[in-house]
Amino acid sequence: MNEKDLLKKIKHEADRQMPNLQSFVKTNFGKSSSFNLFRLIPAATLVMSVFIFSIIISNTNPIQTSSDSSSTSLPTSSEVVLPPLRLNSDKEAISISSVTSATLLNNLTFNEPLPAIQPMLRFPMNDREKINFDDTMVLLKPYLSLFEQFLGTASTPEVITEDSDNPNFDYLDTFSVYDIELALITYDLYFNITSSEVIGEETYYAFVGELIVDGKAPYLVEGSKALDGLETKVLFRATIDAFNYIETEYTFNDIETLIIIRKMINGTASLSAFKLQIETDETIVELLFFENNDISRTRDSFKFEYEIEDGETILEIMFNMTGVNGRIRGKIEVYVVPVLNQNLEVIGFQYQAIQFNEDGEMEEGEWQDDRHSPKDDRHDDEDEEVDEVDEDENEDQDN
Amino acid sequence: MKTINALLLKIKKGNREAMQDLYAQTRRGLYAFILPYLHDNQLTEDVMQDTYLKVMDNIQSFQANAQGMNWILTIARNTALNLIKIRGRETQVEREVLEETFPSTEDVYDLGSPIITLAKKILSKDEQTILFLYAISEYKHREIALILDIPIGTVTWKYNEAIKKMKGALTK
Repeated sequence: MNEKDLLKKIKHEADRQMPNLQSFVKTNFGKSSSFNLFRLIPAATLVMSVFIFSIIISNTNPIQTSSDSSSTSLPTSSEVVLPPLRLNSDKEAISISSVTSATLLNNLTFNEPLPAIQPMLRFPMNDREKINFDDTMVLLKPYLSLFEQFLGTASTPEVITEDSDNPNFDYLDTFSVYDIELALITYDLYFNITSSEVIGEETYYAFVGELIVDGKAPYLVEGSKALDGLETKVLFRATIDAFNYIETEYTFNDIETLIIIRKMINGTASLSAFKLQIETDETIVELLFFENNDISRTRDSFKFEYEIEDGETILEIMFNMTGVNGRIRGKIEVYVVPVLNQNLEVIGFQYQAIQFNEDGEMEEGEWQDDRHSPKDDRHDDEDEEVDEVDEDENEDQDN
Repeated sequence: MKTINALLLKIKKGNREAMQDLYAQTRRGLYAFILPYLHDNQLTEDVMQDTYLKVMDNIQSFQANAQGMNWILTIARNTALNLIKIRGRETQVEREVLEETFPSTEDVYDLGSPIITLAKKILSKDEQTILFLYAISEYKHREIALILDIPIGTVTWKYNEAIKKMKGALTK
C-alpha cells in the first residue's frame, strides 16, 4: 500500500467512525426553549442574595489559610484563561471535602442503601430512547443535598479558625454553607496534626479528628496534603465504621477542579467524581459516575445548575447518558417542595422532579421523595440525651 | 485557521449559529487530536462534546490574538487528560467488570477501522497525532507544527517515521 492509499484509508475509516454530533450541536447551541414550569415554591422563601462570610484567619495551625491567588502553585496556560474554581488554600479543599464526605455519608446511610447493581434500564418510546427516570433519580438523590450546598452557598466555604474547646483536639476549623432553602449548615472540624513536613514553599501534613455537622454526632475524619509524583493532593476521609466511609481526593488542573469520591457504604465500594466550577455569576457542578463498580457509567454525566425562573429556584440537571442506541440527553428539573401539616405549617420538604428530552419536551412521569438535609439528624444526640433524662426522671419518680 | 478565529469571535459576539460552522471546520481536527489519547471512539465522542460545550462556556475568555485551533485543542487535551485521570483510578475489579460487560466493544471498533487500530498499536502517541491530523484533518505539516507547538522538522520526521512503520506493518 502506498502512502496516498494509506492516508486515504485512514481518512475513510475515520469518517465512518467519527461521531455524528449534529444533533448535539443543534440541541446545545440552538435557540433555547422556555418551559411552563410548576409553580411550587414561594419566591420569598427561596430568593435571597448571596451571603458573604467573614474571614478570620489564624495561623496557629499549619494548614494554610486563604491567600493571594497569585501565590497558588496551580498550573496556568498562556493560551487559555478560564475561570475554574481556584483553591486559594488547603482549608478550602478540606472544607469542600468535609461537606462532600459528611453529606454523602449522611444521605447514603440515612436512606435505604442503593441496590448492589442498578442497571440503567432504558427502553425505546416513540422512537426515542428514554432513561429510567426513577432509577436515575435514586442514583442522583444522595448528590442533590450535596450540590444544594455548593450551589446555594455560591462560593467556596470560608473557614474560620477558632480555639479548640475540645480537650482531645488542638485545632478547630469552622465553616458554614447554605442549602436550597437557605438554611445554614455549620461544620466544625476538630483535629490534631499527626505529621508535618515542609518541602520548598509547601507544607505537607496529615491530621486526624472529628467532623461535627450542625452540632450532631461526629464523624471520625482523617486527611492529608501529600505530594503524589509532581501533583499535590488533598485527601480526606469521614468514617462511621470500617464498612461505611467516604473518601475524597482533591485534584485540579488549569481547567477544572476535580473531586474523586470513593464510597464504602455497607461494605460495598464504589467510585464517582465531580467537577466543581464557581464563576462570578453562577456555580456549576458536573458529576461523573462510576457507581457500583459499573464502569459503563463513566460515560454518564450530569451537570447541575441553579436556575431562578419567576422567582423560583430550580435545581437543573442536564444529563448525558449512554443508551442502547446511542447517547440520551435531556434535562431534569428538581424542586424542593414544602410539606405542610393540617395547620399549613411547614413540617418538612420533599424533592419533586420532572424530565425533558433533548428537544425540550416534557416526558411523562414525575419523581418525588423525602429530602434529608444535613440538618436532619443521623444520630440525634440531643434527642437521645432528652430520652435519657426522661428515663432518669421516670426512674427517680418510680423510686 | 484564520477562519476558526473568525468563527470563535463571532460566537463570542453572540452569534450562536457560528457554532455549527465551527463544528464543521474543526471536528476532524478535534477527532484526530483526541483519538490517540483515548483509544476509544465512544470516549472520543464524549470528549468532543465536552470540548464544544466548554468552548461555548468559556468563549468570553478567547482572545482575538490567540490561535483559535490551539485554544480548542488545549481545552480538548485537558478534558481528555481529566478523563484519563479519572479512568486511571478505576480498580482492577472495575476493569474486569467492564471487560465482562462489554467484551466486544473494542473488537467491533477494530473491525470497522483496521488501519487506525494498527496505527494505535504500533505508533507512539505523537506519531499517531501527527499522522491523524495529516490524514484525517488534512492539515499541512506547518499547520500541525503550529497546532502542536513543535518544530516543523519534528513534525516531518515523525510523520515519515509513522508512514514507514505503517507500511512495514502492512507489508508483513
